Amino acid sequence: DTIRATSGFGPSHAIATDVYPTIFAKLEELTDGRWTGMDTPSGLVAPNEMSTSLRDGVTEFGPLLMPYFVAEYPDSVLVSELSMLGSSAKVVSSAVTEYIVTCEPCQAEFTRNGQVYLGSDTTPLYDLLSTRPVRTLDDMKGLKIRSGSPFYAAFIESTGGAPVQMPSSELFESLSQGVIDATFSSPHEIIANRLGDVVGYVTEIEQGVFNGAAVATAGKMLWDRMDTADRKALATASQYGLAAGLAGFDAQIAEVREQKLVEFIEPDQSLVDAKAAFNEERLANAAKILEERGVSDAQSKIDRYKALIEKWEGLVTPDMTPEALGELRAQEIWSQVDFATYGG
Amino acid sequence: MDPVTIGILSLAALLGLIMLRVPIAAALIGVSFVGIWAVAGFRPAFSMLSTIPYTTSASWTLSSIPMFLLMGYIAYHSGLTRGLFEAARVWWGWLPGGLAIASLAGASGFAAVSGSSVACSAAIGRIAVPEMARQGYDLRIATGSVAAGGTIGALIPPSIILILFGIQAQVSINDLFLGGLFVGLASLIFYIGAVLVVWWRNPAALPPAEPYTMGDRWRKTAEIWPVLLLIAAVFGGLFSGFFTATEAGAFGSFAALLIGVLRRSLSWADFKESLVDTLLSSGALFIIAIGANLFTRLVAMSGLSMQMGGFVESLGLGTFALLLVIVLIYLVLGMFLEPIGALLLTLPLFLPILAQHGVDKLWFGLLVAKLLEIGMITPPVGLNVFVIHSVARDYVRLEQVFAGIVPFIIADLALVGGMLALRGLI
Amino acid sequence: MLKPIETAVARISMVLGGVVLLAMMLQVVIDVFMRAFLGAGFPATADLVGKYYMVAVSVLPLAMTELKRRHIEATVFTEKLTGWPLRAVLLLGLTVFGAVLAVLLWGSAVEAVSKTARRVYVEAGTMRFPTWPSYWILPVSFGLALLVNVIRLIELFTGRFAGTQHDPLEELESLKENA
Ligand code: NA
Ligand code: NA
Repeated sequence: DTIRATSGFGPSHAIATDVYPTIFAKLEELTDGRWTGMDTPSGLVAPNEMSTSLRDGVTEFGPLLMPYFVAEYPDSVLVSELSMLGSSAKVVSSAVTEYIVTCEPCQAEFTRNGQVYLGSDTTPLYDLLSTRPVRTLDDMKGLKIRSGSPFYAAFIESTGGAPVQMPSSELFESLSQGVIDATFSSPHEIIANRLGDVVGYVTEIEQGVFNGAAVATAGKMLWDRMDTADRKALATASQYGLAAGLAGFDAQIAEVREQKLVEFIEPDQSLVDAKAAFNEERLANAAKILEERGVSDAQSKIDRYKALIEKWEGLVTPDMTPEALGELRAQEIWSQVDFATYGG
Repeated sequence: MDPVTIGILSLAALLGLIMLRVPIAAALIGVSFVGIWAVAGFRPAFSMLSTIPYTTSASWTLSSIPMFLLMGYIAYHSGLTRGLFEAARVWWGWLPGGLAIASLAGASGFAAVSGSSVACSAAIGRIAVPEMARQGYDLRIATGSVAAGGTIGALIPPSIILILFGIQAQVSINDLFLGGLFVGLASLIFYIGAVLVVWWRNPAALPPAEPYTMGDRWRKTAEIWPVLLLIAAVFGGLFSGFFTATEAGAFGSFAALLIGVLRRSLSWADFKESLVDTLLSSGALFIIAIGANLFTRLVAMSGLSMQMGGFVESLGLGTFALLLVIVLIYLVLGMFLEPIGALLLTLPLFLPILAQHGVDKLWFGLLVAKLLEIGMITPPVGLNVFVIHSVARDYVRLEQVFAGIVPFIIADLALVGGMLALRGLI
Repeated sequence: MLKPIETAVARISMVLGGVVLLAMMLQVVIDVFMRAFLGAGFPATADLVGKYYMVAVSVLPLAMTELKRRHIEATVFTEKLTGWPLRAVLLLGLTVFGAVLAVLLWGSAVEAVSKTARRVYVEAGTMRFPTWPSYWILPVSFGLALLVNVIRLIELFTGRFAGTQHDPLEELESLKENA
């Protein structure tokens, strides 16, 4: 059987080039060729249509960007508010995946929307990508910066910058014409979104990651067609694909550095201190912010997520290969899951 | 039924309904719904009809289209643009097709402010067509020149299509913009050529204005300061980084309103009429955009496009023949689909094949942008033609606009031929 | 008896649509000035414009567009028709559009109910910006358009709607005379 997948972000996005091909190759291997998948051309489902499209069988497998649907997944997007935790994408994406798989309200959210959660990736750590050099806290004053989430908007405000909201489709033009001065993002976008043509500097603030992408999400209609062994195979294969995607981002950043497409700037102490102070205060207030969004018992959920981050800090080594990480995630997160009932 | 058959039947049904005077929006939406139902079942079809009208229209980026429409209507009703064309008439009116050429040049100017060709046509359409009608131009050539001129909007930077191509195909957007500037200006020159050929074959279609003295000319020129102010406000704001291309439309209509009120040339009735006209045009256009978007999903869902990629590969053609086939496919797709959808649909299929043949991606990006823009003016679904028809429907029928487009499509094909030839030289 | 309904529908969509157009223009301009001179722009402008104003401008005029016969259609193949063939063609167009509007009304209403149940919002800067009411613009607009469509069908059957084509040439002549 062939899974009709929609990667949704275009043919050169890491999901289309690394994540999904790896998932489907591994799935074929694990099911002795009974199952494979095919990425239908982009243009079938836009990212902001993914939730209903998976539910109604427009597509069977796709990346769900939960911040687009924040009211539908209050418990699952909880991790976005804790974006400052974790030292690498490998750690954070694994901790997020384990958190959601073992979180009952999160599972209820996916079930209610006719979907089955099979794993998240995260971007590399976010830096400040700017058209002019930024080194100190003073340099941030009055800077117009695109922010993709409340976490970054609040951080920009705390440094004296002005957060600006705009769709990613306008990012290039706005940077190029000076409507904005910078964007918070991962440096891989310098290649992936062609920002190298307009951005000259990357200040390595390493402020959090984007962790709200449930890149491996299956429609319930597909899940119901699979037996327990095949379901397990799809969950396992997804971990290998997600790990391959992280390696793809890292390779793009390495290329940015190698080709010297931009100048990398070490932030000075004032900026590092400002970040630490902001993160500490934000973390202290996270429970309150989340309760306002309708998350119950937020503090104990935060504590559980923190513990998972620490667990994965201990498990993941920096030079771990994608295959090793995929295997580790499959073992640690999915080996105990009962696939007769999971996603039901 | 296999998906390809469903895809072909859908195209036939669409054409049939349009010929039977079913509103184009209704034909697109109805055929897409039934087609997706046949391919994938009722639930996905109903799901798409429930969500896509919202996701299509709920777009910040598209907001420049109603805003540029409003600017055009206000500028027209307040007589702001009359002066501009008066000036064009006294200076260039004696030239063969002078006003059509002035409109084309005006469209190219707006292309530098707007990222989409529909917005560009919206801005220039209401302004230019009535003036050409006044001078007694054949309305086919008058509307055709403006509809075609609008396509330059997505070639000269800024351009949504070129940015998207750059990201999807991993080509420098700056290089694409530079190339787009050349292709845009080349299109302008070819279109002017088309106007001259039409004049040469039928001088009565583009009658010259009566001669003016130099005194008349300077007096008329002095009268155009308000519209120069409007143009300066829109261009100055964009190039100084004061606002984005999306915001330029709102700013332009605000400036037009302000100038009209201050000059006391915009009455309350004019103002209301501008709003109603904008709403009527928006209502007619966006429901078609929703339909074109749904139809693109049907083509994606039917697997027709995937089959096409396989088919092209299986032909085992040489590079030039391959490019000809791809040009043909884009021309056919462009008849029915909206350009962004068609781009997303086709790039994953063609880029790998072209890479094997060593075709330069920058050159191909410019070719694709040009071909997709041709689709904006070809029947039966030509959004630029619909905009012009919508703003000028008091004077001209839809099929007359499509008829007026023919010389410009021929010019476009000549340009595409030139691009193919140029590639051989590289 | 049907005319007052038509007039009411036209007036409602005209007033609401006009207000939305002006609000959209003014808010973008204010946002641009605030961003340039005060640092931060007007809160949630992109979301208000994208999710509310644009949806309203796109679909609210649909009823009016039908009332003024401004939907874009190709008349070239049917322009010679008169009598019952013409009425058959008009009936086909109105029926297809009516059916399409009915499905759109149904689908968008289902969608709006589900978004309302979840009190859907987006995050704009640091604030929560509710978007669920914007989903109701669609069923309301499609409903108004369907209403006009049904009235047209009734008029077609009672012979009060001839669907004769407005002749652009007359307009053109008067324009030339004024030139
Ligand atoms: Na442009
Ligand atoms: Na077309």
